[in-house]
Amino acid sequence: MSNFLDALGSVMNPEVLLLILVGTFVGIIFGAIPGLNTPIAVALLLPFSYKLGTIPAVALLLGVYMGGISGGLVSAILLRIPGTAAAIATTFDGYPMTRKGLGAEAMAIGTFGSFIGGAFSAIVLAFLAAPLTKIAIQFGPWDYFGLMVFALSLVSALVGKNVLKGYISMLIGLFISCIGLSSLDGLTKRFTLGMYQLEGGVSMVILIIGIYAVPEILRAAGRLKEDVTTAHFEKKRFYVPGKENRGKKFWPLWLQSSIIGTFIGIMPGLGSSTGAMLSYTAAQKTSKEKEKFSTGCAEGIYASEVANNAVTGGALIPMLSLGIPGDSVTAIIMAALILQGISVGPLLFTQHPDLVYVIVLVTFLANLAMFVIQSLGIPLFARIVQVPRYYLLPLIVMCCAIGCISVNNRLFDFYLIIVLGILGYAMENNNYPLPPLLLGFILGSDTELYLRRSLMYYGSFGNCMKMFSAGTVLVIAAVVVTVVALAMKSETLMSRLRRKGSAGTGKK
Amino acid sequence: MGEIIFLVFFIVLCLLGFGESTTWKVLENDTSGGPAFWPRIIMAALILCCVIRIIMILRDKEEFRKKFVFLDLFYGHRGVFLLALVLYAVGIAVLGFLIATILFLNIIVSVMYYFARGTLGKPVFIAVRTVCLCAAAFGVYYFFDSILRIMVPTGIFGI
Repeated sequence: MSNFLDALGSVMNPEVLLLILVGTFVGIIFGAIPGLNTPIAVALLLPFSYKLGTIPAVALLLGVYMGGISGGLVSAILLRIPGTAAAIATTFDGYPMTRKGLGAEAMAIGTFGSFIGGAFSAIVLAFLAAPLTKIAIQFGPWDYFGLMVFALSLVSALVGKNVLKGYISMLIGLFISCIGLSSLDGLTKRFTLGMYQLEGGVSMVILIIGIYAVPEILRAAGRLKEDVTTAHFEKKRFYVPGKENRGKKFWPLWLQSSIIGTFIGIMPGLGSSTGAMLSYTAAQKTSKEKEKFSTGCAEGIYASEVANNAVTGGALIPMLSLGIPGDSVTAIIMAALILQGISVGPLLFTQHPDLVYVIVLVTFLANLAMFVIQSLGIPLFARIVQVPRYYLLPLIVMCCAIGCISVNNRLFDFYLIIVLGILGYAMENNNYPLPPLLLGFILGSDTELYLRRSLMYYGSFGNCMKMFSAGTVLVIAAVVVTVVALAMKSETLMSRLRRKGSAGTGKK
Repeated sequence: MGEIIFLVFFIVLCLLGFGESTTWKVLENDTSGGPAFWPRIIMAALILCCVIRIIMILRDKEEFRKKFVFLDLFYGHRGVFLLALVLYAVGIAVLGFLIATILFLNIIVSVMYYFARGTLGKPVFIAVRTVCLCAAAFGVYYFFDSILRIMVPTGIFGI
């Protein structure tokens, strides 16, 4: 208790509170601009954090982290261009709401959901860090492989109307993830076509801009004469979702999405985009009004935003307990702590227990700051959609260009987004869903890594399957999900069943 | 028919990938299948899915007749914008980010404004628009180049 009070005293300091606000604001800006993302923001602020003390540095970097994950919802909802990978699932229902003129409400829902997810994960971080880490550490490569295969099959089977198209999309994503040096040995250049720029693989930022931003820009360029969507909003200073969008009926969904997000966060390498997409598909599956999803419903936005912010606290758990960063941002934050002379890992709980509580409190306060800043900024953000397309589209292209160039300091990536944009346009306009492609790309190299490690350890795939472990159960579950989804979505089978049903009724 | 061509493209791509993967070496002590193991699984699965999809299209007349939306990307306003995007990418390499961005913003905004409204606007309005767009390009350039220290392409003029 004394450690907690010490931590509270350290955090309730004007300098620390100001740094949380500044960090969160910077994070939101970086998250909202397509091409810029949270790892870039945290990496850019890392040198500034050297000059600060440990607690102010933690406040600044965690503020950026929380703000960045949530900031992606701004462009995802208003422009259908996810500012970060975490906000991809937010576009499914966020943008349809904007098209209905409810952009401000969608933003308020997303912001509120982000706060709920972030606050939940901060509480989990405070009470369950050590026991949850013990569970996560028992996961071996085969279990991780099973988890990834399950996530891939779930998203491919459930997103979109045609399961086969979902799988083709996911396999294209996995194929793109193979480009570059091979993941386990790092010796073979795969599918680089002799271009040295492809040896490092395709960057995630480039893929997101390519398959999401460019097709949307090109589609919008063909609708120049259409009226600009107006976002209806009452004139008020602070925006919260309307009563119909924040009642008790959402509590189970918030809890479910928070748990999924936090759990995915604890698993190193899975990341907030996986958490958000799994949460979205789970919400769709458990909802009583499945048909409302992807048409602009509050549940869809909550499912994505609650989960992606819940990942943040979850990702801090293995970092603090084991010294294993959950994602790229926590890796940079861990580096910042090491540079401050703090050894991150099991010893942290005994050597610096107060710092653990500081991190928990800062996580909570940064989420609160994000909620306040975004809720205040909604009228400003919502006006973006009112900007005529002939101004907006070229300016977005400019942001995308500089964003692409800044990733690897080369122009090649800008050429790549045009090629990927054409692919994304062809796929999306012909009902090949893009989320499975992106998830396949995100999880591709890790799936390969864990599969090959499992094969090295157990000798063969058959031996892996003989093991009674979470991995085996999840691989079998992935096959079951695929078969069930194929059966449920097969029009031929369903029409036969309907015919049988009506014939049966007729007989009676 | 368009979708079949689209799927055949991926089948050909995978077959070429298979061919390339035969040249990849496997380390002697590598018991994980080597660097080609995983890509081959993906390519085989992709070929299988594409073939099944092609069979489904060929068996269903409605699916076969369905238009594959792709070529409209190269016509009309979309085509102009795509061309501008390609020229912008080439322009950045030749003229540098700042000059190419100023030219891209001013030309494409004027063209799209004309498409949308049927006029370029009054001379004063054009002047104000040009100044604002140049300021936006300078602002972004300054922020990334001077504050974030990100090296942007400088082109033949070194700007």
